[in-house]
Amino acid sequence: MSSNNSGDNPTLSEEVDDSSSSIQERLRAGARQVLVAFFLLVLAAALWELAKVITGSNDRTMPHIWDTLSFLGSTTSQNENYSWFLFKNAWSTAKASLIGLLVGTAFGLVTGTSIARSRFVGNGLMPLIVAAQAVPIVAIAPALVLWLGTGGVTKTVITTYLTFFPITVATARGIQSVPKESHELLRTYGASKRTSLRILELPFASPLIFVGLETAAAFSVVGAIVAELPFGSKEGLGVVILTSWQFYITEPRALYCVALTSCALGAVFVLSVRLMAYFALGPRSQGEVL
Amino acid sequence: MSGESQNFGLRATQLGKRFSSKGGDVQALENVDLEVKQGGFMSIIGPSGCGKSTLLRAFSDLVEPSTGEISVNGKLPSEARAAREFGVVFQSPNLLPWRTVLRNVTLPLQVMGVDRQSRNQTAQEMLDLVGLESFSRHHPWQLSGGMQQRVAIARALSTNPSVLLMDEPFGALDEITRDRLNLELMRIWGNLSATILFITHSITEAVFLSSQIAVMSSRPGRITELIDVNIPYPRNTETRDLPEFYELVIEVRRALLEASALTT
Repeated sequence: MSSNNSGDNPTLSEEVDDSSSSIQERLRAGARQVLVAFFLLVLAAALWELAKVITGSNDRTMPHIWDTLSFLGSTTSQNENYSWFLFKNAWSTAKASLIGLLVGTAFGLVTGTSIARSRFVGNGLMPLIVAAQAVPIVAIAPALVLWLGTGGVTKTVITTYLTFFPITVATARGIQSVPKESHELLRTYGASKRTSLRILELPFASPLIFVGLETAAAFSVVGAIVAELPFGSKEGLGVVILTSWQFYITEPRALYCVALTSCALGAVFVLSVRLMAYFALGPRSQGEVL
Repeated sequence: MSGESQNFGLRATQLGKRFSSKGGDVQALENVDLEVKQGGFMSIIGPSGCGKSTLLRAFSDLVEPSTGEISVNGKLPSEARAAREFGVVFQSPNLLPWRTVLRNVTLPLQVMGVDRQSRNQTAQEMLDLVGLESFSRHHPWQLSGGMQQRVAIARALSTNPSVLLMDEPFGALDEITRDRLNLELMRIWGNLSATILFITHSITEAVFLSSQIAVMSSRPGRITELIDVNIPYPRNTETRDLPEFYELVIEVRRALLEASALTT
């Protein structure tokens, strides 16, 4: 808490730590962050080109950045702009990711709360959940497709499976770290378990839950793409990746383009969560979106 | 309970509390008899670990007594808690950092289900009372330690309790701030006429505030002496300069020494 104990008169304004900065300052800080992010992107591109020179890779294995980017303007065999084609597929993947993320978050909040509330549930459930996370999803994805088909259900199951874990852990840890005194405070008011969950435990845990949600958001995109890889899906970034593999020998740039698109989609998801955290947590967020 | 006990804001009869742990049982309280009249101000002073806090936690229904009887306004602590007859102020301000000062004060009322408009109004009145009316929109981390503790007092008062249980509320503050908050507490108490049980480590604080001081010894925790403070209220800055004040400080210190001699 505040280390300022010099006095206690509320009229002394220097007692008050007024660190809510102006909008102008925040915008300037935001602009700086964007600049740094852009600089890092340029740096990554430069490293790619440098690696290409050092290893002496040909344009098949490592196409130039500008060649890859120019491929975004090309036309597909269906006479479609390639960027538009990628966008349509990314949109399909994004929908699947979002559904999985929402279901996984709901699941994770419930499991995390139960684990925190009951040692019995926690001790029994936690090892199982951790063990389940060690199963490589790619290994069982074909089996899931056989059971559940190639439709949205499989995608949702896989993304839910990947996203609920970080949320569960974050929720459980967050609620478990509520100070004993805060629990006692609510107890003296005669608060029910539900009231204390709503007023104390979830708000207290929310900064941690948002960290879990960030991880889960990235996982949800990976999960949806993995779910689209095995046979039979008709659209989505996973399908595009699969076809790009097949044509890599003749056209490597397609694969790099779809890889970049996947990155971009993941970034959009994670940044959206950060933005939500920024508004939901107010002064408790780190105040930085990027 | 009998009609007679209605006159007591707080009462403990032959109260005992034993904690069981792996290292053996600890007798935290033994044969504690304590009576605080309604509207009285009782301080409990004693060495660390003498069971002062356990006593207060028994009154606030956070600890179940092992033996004896205990009552708040003639009721069981659990009944008194359900009727919101007491408020508790802990050693740490214990504010929720994501809530503004105002919304921290409305917390107990929100749990009770009071509607937003009237709970905000009550909370604002309580902030007026503790002199923080212009800080309702601030967050706890923007306030000094002393101001945070005043918010905690406002919060405890928001349900209009007739009993206030205070567990070393100013223990973490520097002496200057503590003296100022003692004056403040006297002013607030004068407006309320509540029964107060006040746990403290500070002899001068106990003498300045209380109408009666209970001195405790440790292991087992018991009350060794009751000292009446016959300095008339309202008390103010000059109270600390009175010869009676000094005499009482000396008396309490002697009683504390005797209490600790019992255990060593």
